[in-house]
Amino acid sequence: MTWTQTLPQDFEHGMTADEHWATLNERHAHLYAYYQSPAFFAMNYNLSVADTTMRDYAVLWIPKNLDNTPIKVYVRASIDDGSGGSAANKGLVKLIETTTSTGDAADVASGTDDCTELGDPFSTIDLTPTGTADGREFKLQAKCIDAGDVMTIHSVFGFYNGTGSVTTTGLGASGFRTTNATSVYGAAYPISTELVASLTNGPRKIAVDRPVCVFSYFTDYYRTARLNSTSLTWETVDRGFIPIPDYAHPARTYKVYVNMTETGGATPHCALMVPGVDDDLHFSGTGWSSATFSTSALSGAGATFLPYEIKMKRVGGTRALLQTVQIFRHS
Amino acid sequence: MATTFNTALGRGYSVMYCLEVEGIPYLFVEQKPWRATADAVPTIPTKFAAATGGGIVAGLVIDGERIGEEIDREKGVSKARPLTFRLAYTPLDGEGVLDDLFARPSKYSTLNADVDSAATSFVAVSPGGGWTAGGIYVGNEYMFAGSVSTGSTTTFSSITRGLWGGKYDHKKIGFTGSQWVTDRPNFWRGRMVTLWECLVDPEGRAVFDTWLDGDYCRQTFKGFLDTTPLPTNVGFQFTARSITRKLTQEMGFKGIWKSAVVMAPGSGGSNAQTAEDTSGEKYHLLPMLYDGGNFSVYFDMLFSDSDTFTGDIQATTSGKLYQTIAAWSYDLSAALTTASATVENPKQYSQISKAIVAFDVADDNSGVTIKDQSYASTNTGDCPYFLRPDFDSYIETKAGASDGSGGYFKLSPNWDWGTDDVKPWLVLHNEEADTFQDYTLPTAGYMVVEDIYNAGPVELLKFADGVAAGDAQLNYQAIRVTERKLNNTTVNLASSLKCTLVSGAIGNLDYAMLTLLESSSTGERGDHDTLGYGMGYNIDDGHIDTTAIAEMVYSKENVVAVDDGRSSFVDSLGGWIISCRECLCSIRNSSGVMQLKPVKHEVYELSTIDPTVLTITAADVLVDGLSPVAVVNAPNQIQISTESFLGDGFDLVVRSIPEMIREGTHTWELECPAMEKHIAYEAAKNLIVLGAGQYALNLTLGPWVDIQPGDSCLISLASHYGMFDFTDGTLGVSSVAARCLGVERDLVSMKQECRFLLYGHTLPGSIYCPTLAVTATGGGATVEFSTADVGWLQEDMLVTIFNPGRESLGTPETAEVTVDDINGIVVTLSSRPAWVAGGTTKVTWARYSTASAEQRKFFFFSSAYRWN
Repeated sequence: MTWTQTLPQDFEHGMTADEHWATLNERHAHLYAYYQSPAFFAMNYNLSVADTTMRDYAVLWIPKNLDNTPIKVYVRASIDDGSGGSAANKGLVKLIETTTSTGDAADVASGTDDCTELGDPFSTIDLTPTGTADGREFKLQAKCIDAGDVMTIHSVFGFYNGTGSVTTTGLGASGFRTTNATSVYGAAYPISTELVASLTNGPRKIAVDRPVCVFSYFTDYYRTARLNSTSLTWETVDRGFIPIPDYAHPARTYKVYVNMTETGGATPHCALMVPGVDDDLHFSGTGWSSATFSTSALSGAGATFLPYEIKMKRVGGTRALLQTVQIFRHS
Repeated sequence: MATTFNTALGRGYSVMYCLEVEGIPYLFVEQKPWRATADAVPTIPTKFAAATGGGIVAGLVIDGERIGEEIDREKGVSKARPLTFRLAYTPLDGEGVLDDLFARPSKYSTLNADVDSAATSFVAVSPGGGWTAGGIYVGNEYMFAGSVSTGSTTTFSSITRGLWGGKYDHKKIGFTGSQWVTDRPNFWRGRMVTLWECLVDPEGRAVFDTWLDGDYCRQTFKGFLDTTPLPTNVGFQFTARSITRKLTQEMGFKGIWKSAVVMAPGSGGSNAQTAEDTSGEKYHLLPMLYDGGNFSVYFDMLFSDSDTFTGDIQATTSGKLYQTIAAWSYDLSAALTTASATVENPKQYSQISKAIVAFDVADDNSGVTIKDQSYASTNTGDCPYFLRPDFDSYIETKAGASDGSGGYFKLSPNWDWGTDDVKPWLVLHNEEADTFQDYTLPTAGYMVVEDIYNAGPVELLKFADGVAAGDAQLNYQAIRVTERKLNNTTVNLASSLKCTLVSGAIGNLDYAMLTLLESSSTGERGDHDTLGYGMGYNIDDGHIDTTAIAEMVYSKENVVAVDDGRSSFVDSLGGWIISCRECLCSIRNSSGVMQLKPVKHEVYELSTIDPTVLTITAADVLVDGLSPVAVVNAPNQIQISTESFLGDGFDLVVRSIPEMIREGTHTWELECPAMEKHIAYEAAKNLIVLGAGQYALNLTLGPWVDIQPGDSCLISLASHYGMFDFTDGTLGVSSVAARCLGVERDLVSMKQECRFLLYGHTLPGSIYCPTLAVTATGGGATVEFSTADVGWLQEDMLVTIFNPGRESLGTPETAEVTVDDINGIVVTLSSRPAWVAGGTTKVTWARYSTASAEQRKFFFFSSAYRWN
C-alpha cells in the first residue's frame, strides 16, 4: 500500500467510514513495519585497515530505539593483497554494541558480519539489539584476515531497519501499539478514544524511537582524528551544511551527540556554530556529550540547509580530538 | 461527601457577595456576617492584611443586577452583560475609608523616569510633598513603600510591588494618572474586578470560615471597570465589563514610521576620527550580527598606492575599532568581551585586499556591530600608509611604530542584507499617527517594512528593546530587529524604509492567543507576556485556562494574525476559534476561579453515562421558566478568508449546495489568517454538518443547577412539545441532547435564564467511546480506576476490557465483562481475566450488538456510511 500521513481531520465527524477506518489501521501497521531512518553514515570514508586483529575504527551513538529495532549497516570496501591484486573475503567488519549510557555492558550485538566479496558492491551487517537502554554506544570494528592485505572502507551507512512486521506484544517501550486486529476495528466494535489516540500518535512514536540522523561525522578511532586541535584558543576545524528539509515548518528540535578524546591529558572542547540558533552547543571533556537546539517555525523559512562551523580547542594537555558528531531530529 | 455549593442553594441557602478591585487594598463585602459554626465573623484573607494597608469593609450593594455570558457562534468570543454595583457612602464612611478612596489625592508626585515592573525603588518629583512610608498608588498598581526619603525629589524604596493586583511598567509621560504617584486612587477605569459569591445559611450566617477561601466561596464574575465612580443617591456606582468583552478592544498602535537620519556624536577610538570631525556621520541603521553563531564579515582595506601589508589585524577590545555611538546599541568592544574576532586570511594584503574578520557571537545579548568608517589597527608586519576617511576624501596615515603597530586602516563592512542573520538596530521617526499614543513606538512588536524607492515585496519583522534615540524633540526611536523574514521575504534595510506597525501575533494558534492575551510589556503575566506596551491585553495567566487552549483542535496550526494598525483579538483570532468549534468564554473552573476558556458550541448525541453531562429535569425549571423553541441560524455556506494584512492567503467558500437550493443561502464569514486550505475546508464542512437542523430553547432554571455556557446537557422535559425525537419521529422523549449556549443570572433571586442549542433534525453524529484506565487490581474480580474514570461506569453495564496492542495474540487479551458493583473507585467485575494489570489494561464500551441503548449513542452506526 502507499502510505500517507494520518491527520487529525481523518477522525472528524462523518469521515470514518468502514473502509476508511480499516485503511487507517493498515497504514498504521505498515508504517511500524517498514519505516527506516538513517542512524549514521559516512561517504568517502577511505578508512585503511591493515591490522589482523580487531580494532575499533569508529564510535557511534544510537539514540532511543526502545523497541530494539534492528540496525542494518551497509559497508562498501575493497581489499588490496599488497601486490595490486584483490583479496576477496579477506576482511572482517563488525558492529558491536558496547557500554550503554547506563553502564549496561550486557547488551552485546548478536549480529556479525563479514566483509566481503568484492563482486558485491556492499556487504551488510544485521544487528538486533536487546535490552532497554535509551541510547547505546556502538563501535565499528574491522580487520584483515591476512597480514599484508590492506582493506579500504569506502562508505558506511547504518539505519533503523523495520522488521517488516508489526509488534503484537502490546504496548511497546516506545509507546507504539498495533491496532491492526479484527477485534479492534471489526464491525460492531467500539471506536474508543484510546484507539483514536493510538492511531494519531503512533507515527510520532515511531519517529521518536527511530530518529533521523541529519548529520553524521565519524573518524578513524584508531588513529588521530581528522578533526582535532592543538590550539589553546578556538579554531575552526570544519565547515559545511546540515540538510534540514523541513526547517521552515514546523519547528524542530535536534539533538547533537559528540564524542571527543584527547592526548597528553588535555580537556577537549568543541563548539557547533549554527547561525540563527541560540542554544549552547559547546561541549567539553572526553567521551559522549549531547545537547539540543531548535529551529523556530518561521525564521529562515524555506531553507533546506543550515550552514555550520565546528571549532575546537584544548585546555592543557597536547591535543583535542573529535571522534564523532551525529545530529538527530529529536522531536 | 460534603454538600455542594449548588445543592445548598437548592436547600434555601443563599450567597453574600464580595468584590475585589485591582490595586485597591480593601475587600468590599455586602455585610460582615457571623459564622454558622462559631461566634465570630469570617477571617480576613491574608492578602488583605492590615500590615500593608489592607482591610475588609462593608458597603457593597448588589441590587437587582444581572450578569450573563452567551456563546457567540460567529465571533469566537462570548457576549456578556456588564455588572453594575455600588459602594455605599455610609458604611464606607463608617469604616473611615470613604475619603481614602474617593477624595482627591492629598499627596502627589510625578515620576521622573519610567519605572519598570521589577523596580523596588524609584524617584519622583514632589509638587505635593510630605511623603512618608506606606501605601502608594501608581496607575493600576498599589505599592507599599518601606521607606521614603524626601528633598528636592522623593525617593521611594523597599517597595513591595503589585499588592492586590499586577505589577506594571509605569511611564513618566501620560495624561490622566499613570505618571502620578498618589496617596489615594487617582483613577478607576481599567482596574480588574472580581465578584465572589460566598455561601450563607438561611439565617444569613457564613458557611465559610475565611473570606475567599474554601469550597463555599467562588468567583462569579471577572471583568474590568468601564466607568469612573458615579455619585448616586446611595453611593458610588460602577459598571464593569466582562473579561471577554475586553477582547473586542482594539490594541496596538496605528502608525507609520520611516527610517530617520540622525547625527552621530563625536569620535570613538583614538585616532579613529579626528576631534575636529564634529559633524559625525549620518545613519539610520546600525547593522549587527546577532542571535549567536559564527559570522564572517569582509572589510575593505585601503592603502596608499603600491603599499602592502603583511601581518595581523588587531581586532580586540584594545583595537581601535570605532566605538558605537549611543547607549542603546552594543559596541564592538563590549561585544568582544563575550564574542571573539579573528582574521581568517592573514597574508600580505594589497591595496584591493579584503580582510575577512570572523566574529563568534555568543548569545542574544552580545551582538556585534561595526560602524561604517571604523578603523582597525595593525600590530605586526610592515608599515604601510593607510587611508583613513576624512570627510569626503582620505588622508594618508603612517603608522607610528616601525613594526606596523599603530597603523590604522578603514573598516568597511560588507553586510549581506540577503541573510536574516544580520539584524540591525533601526532608527525611525514617526511619519503618520492617528492619536497621540500612536506617536509612541512600542518596546516590542511586529512591523511591516518596505523599500520606499524600490517597490517590491514587503518584509514582516519582529523587534524589541525599543528606546528613544537621537533628538528626543523629533521623537526618534531606535528598535532592535530580533526576527526577520517572517513572511519569507526580505527588504534591504539599508534603503529608505517605510515601517508600518502591525498588531497581533504570529505562531501556533495557542501561542498567538496566549501572547495576545497576556502581553503587558512587563513579562509578569506569564510565559507569553512578550509583546510591548499596548500590544496585548495584560491578562495574567491565572485568569486563563492555558491547558484548554493548548488542547484546541487546531492549537498547533500556524497563524499569522497581524493587521495594519490597531486590531482586536476577536478580529484577529475569532475565526480560528470558531473553526475549532469553540468559543472563548469566562468560565468558572473546578477550583471556583473564573478563567478565559474555550468551550464547545456545537451539539451532538450525548448520553447519561457521560459524567460531565448535566441532566435537566422539570424539577429544575421554574414555573415561569418555559418558552417555545426558537430557530437557530445554521450556516449552509461558510466563507473563510485566510488573507492577512500581508496580502497573502486566499478565500475559500464551502457550500452545502442541496441545502442552499432548499433553504436559500445562510452564510457565515470567518477570518482565519494563514489557515491552510485543507484545514479551512474541514473546519467549514464540520460547522455546516453539525449545525444542520438544530434549534434553540430558553429555560429559566433554579439556582441549584450548576450550569455554565458550553456545558453538555440532556434536557428531560417529556411534556414540552420541543422534546421531539428526531431519531424515530416521536413526541415526548425523555431527553434531548443540548449545549448550553448562555446563562444570564439574577444576582438577587439567583434565577438563571439559560439558552440551549438542541440536537435536532440532522444526521446522526456520534462521539467516540470513552477509554478508562485500570489503575490497580484488587482482591477477587475487582479493579480500580481514577475518580474521574469511574464516573463513566454503571452497575450491570457490559464493557470491553483489553490490553492495547495485544488483541491479536493467539489468546487475545480482550473480553467483555459486566460491571457487578461499584464502591468508590473499586469496581467488581463479573470476572477478571488473568492478564488484567494496573497501568496497562483499559476499558471501553461493549460491542454495538451487546451495548446498551445509552452506550450505543457513542457509536457511529450506519453500515453504509459509518462504523458498523
